[in-house]
Formats: sequence, structure tokens, C-alpha cells
Amino acid sequence: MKRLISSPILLCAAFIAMAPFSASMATAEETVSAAPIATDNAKDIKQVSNVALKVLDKDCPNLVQPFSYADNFKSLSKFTLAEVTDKASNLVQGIFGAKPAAGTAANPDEIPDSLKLAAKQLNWLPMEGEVAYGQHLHEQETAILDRDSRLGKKYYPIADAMLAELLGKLTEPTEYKFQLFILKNSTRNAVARPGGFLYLDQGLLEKDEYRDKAYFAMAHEIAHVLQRHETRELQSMAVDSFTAKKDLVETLPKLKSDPALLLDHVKMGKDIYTQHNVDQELQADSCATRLLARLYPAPKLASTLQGFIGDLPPVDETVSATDTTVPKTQADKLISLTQDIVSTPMHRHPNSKERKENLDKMYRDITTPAK
Amino acid sequence: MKISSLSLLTALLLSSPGHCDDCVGLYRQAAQKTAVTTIGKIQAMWSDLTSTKCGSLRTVSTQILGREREARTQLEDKKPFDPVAAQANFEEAIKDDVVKSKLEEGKSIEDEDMRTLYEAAVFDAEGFYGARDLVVRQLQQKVGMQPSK
Repeated sequence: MKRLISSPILLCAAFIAMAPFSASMATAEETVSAAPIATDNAKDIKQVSNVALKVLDKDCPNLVQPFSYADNFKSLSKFTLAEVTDKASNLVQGIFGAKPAAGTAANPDEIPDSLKLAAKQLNWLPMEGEVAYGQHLHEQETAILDRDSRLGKKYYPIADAMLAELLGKLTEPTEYKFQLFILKNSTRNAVARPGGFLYLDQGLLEKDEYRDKAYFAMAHEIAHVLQRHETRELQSMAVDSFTAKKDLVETLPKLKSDPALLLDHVKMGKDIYTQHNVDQELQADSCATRLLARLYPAPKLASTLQGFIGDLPPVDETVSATDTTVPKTQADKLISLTQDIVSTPMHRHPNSKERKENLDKMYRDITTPAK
Repeated sequence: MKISSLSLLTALLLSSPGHCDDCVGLYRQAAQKTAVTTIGKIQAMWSDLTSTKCGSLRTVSTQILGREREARTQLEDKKPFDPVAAQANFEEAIKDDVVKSKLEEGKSIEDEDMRTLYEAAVFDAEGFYGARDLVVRQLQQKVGMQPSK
């Protein structure tokens, strides 16, 4: 068994195999019956990034990432057949149910890097695992407003109605059961966690003047879930850490009975460096705009986007001025490069200017009639 | 028998509306805590606050201990603490009748730090989050903890 799962791709298969069988079947049936276009949902992977988190479609052409295992492995197979060797192709066929060809899976060194990277960009973590992971993180949240409290009775109905309104415009099939919570904060932030856990700051709901931003915030966080942003990072970590961490391999069989154990173990390793990813945030902004466009006519959409943009911090012009300074000597260049590496986080939120430009573009794309 | 300030704090919090029976165990345990320092007392109490009940005490204790876990997929970066807005919220809070009444109850808590913790929990329960954050930061500074961001 260890030899068979000693490749990242077979790790995917192992995760799938460990998902409750009946739930997996229901998942496949529901997806097919709701959208009998499994073939069309196969993602065309034209490039793989050496950064596992890179988003390939920042304009958000699809509000919901394909979830069906069949779609995802069809995508992987498609990519494999086009890009990698027959050996790797045999490996993928093994994932689909047939036994891997002898000698193809035993040595992880035989797996092409491109195939490994492609696997990171697909959705193979069972929904049960994702929800369990989200639930695990949720239980660590200590600032949730109680629904039965005086303030909870005041604000939850408002937030619930907003969520219902937005989800009512989501026509694509999705398996998520969203759960909404209000955080006891006077700030106006929002958060999503894997599995459909959404959180809005109470500050977004207290005044009508922030209602537009509240809608945008909720649409943005729904988008993070539907694009499976954090879940994909987790998958990447699993793929990466698998060959490196023997204890992870040994923990793998425990996934079915206690998914949080493994998932949290993987997550622990990545918290060190993962903060925010510009591409993912911009994509979530774009998806939020597309979802809101289904709810609102153009003028109201514009004012809603402005409600978010207007609450962003002012653009720091000094940053761009510094960035354009060209080092004169080789030594200056080295110092500048070193400073850049040290001071720039690997992942960060896009700045206000980047977000505004992206939203302006999305608004134009959506509201300009196609020629 | 003299009731410790920590026990009284817990008792006061538990006697507030919305705090249910499952906190009684916490009260009993908290009364037995022997920690000397404020942080030690809060840490000892925090480990018992696993229930979703006693929410305000859990919220402010987590803040003071700096155990908040930042989620990755936030809408925007966390904004820095705004002391002016927090002070204004504090002024508003202490004029609120419900808050005034609860703070009055808290005056019987002998330990000053525990009383401050109680006050922070009252502000949290009544939705005065700026006031809560202000008081939490003051307590953190007093006991030598790094203030929350």
C-alpha cells in the first residue's frame, strides 16, 4: 500500500478512495443530474505554475470551480496525454480505477514535475474532508456573535437575507452548504473558510451606509469558497509534503475517521508562509462582481463596487515612487534586490490601486454589450 | 469563606442573561485556580472555556492572551487599532444604562485586573467593541503582554 501511494498523484486517489463511498456516489450523481456536461467541465490546463497558488483565470469565467472528481481527473488525463510521457499517462489511468502499470508508481522520482503541478491545480480533496477542515478552523474562532443574543437577533436576519439573496442568483450547481456567522468586530472585514463557512464583521451590518460594502464582502467570500482557494492550497501542501514527510504517509489512512487530524497537520506547515495571495484576492473580487451583476442593474452594481472601493485605504504613492528607482551600481542593485526579497511578503493582499483597476475592468467587461 | 475575585468574576459573568447552565462547571473549576499572575489566571480559565457559551469571557480572554487566529481569506488586511474611535466608543458605552448597571455589579471584584477583564467582557456582550478593544489593550500593556494589532 505504501508503495502504491508513494506518489502525489496516487495520494489524490487515496484521498478519494477514503471518502465515504455513498457520499461520493451521491456527489457524482447530483453533479451529473444538475449539469450533464461533465466533459465540458474538464479544465484545459494549458500551463502549470511553479507557484502552486497561482490562479489561471483571474477574470473569473466560472463562478463555481468544477468539483466532480470525474471532471477533475478528466482534466488531469487530458493534460497528461498532451504533456507528459506514456509512463505518467499510465499512472493517471491507475487513478481512474485500473491498476497502475507495473513499475510506474513505485518511485516518486519517475513522476514528471509538470504532472505534480497539474495535480495541485485540480480539486480532488473530498467535500467531507474540506468541510471537516473548515469545521476544525471554525471551532477555533472565538469572536462569533451568538444568534440568540440581543445583538444576534438584530443582525443575523439582515445577514441571512443578504446571503439568501446572493445565493439565489447562483444558478450553477454547487455542493456547498454555506454557514454564515457574524464576528464581534466593529471593523468592516469578512472572512471565508473552507467548506462554506462565511464570516462578516458586525461593523458591516450596523449602518446602512456600509450595506453596499457588506454585499460585496459577502459575494467576495462566497467566491473564495466556490473557487476553493484555501482548499487548493491545502491540496498543494499535501502533494508537496507527502514525499517529504513520512509521518504524513503514516497518518493518511486516518483521514476517513479523523480528517481534521491530517488536514490540520498539513496546514500547520503552511501557516508559516501563507498569508494572502494577490491573484486569489483579485479573482475573488472579479467573481464577486460577476455574482453581484446578477443581482443588480448596472447603476446599482457601480454603487455597490464603489461602496467597497471607497472603504479601501488610500493608495500610498510613495511606494510606486520608490519602486521605480533604478539602482545605479551593481552593489546598489544587489542591495535593492535583497531588500525587495526581505520586505515583500510572498503572498499579500492586492493594494487599493490594483483592486480598483481590476474592479473597473470587470465592471466594463460586464456592462459593455458584446459586439 | 472569602470568595476569590476570579470566582466572583466568573460568577458575575455566569449570572448574566444568556449564560447557561453548562458554565457552572467552569465556575467550580475557576474557583480552584491557584495561579498567581493575571495572565496565569486567565490562561487557567481560558483552557476551560471550550464551550460556545460564556462567549464574551472567551472572546476577551483570547484577545488578551493573543490567541486569535487570523484567517487567510480575509476581504482586506486588518486595519490598525484606532485609539480615537475606540475612546469615543468607550465614552458612549459607559453612558449606556445596561453597561452602567453591569459595571456597577463588577465593582465588587477585588482584583483590579480581573475587574478590567470583566469590564471588557461587558463591553463585548453589549456590542461596544471599540471600548472592549481599548480596555483589552490597556490590560495587555499593564501585564506586559504585546498589545493586539
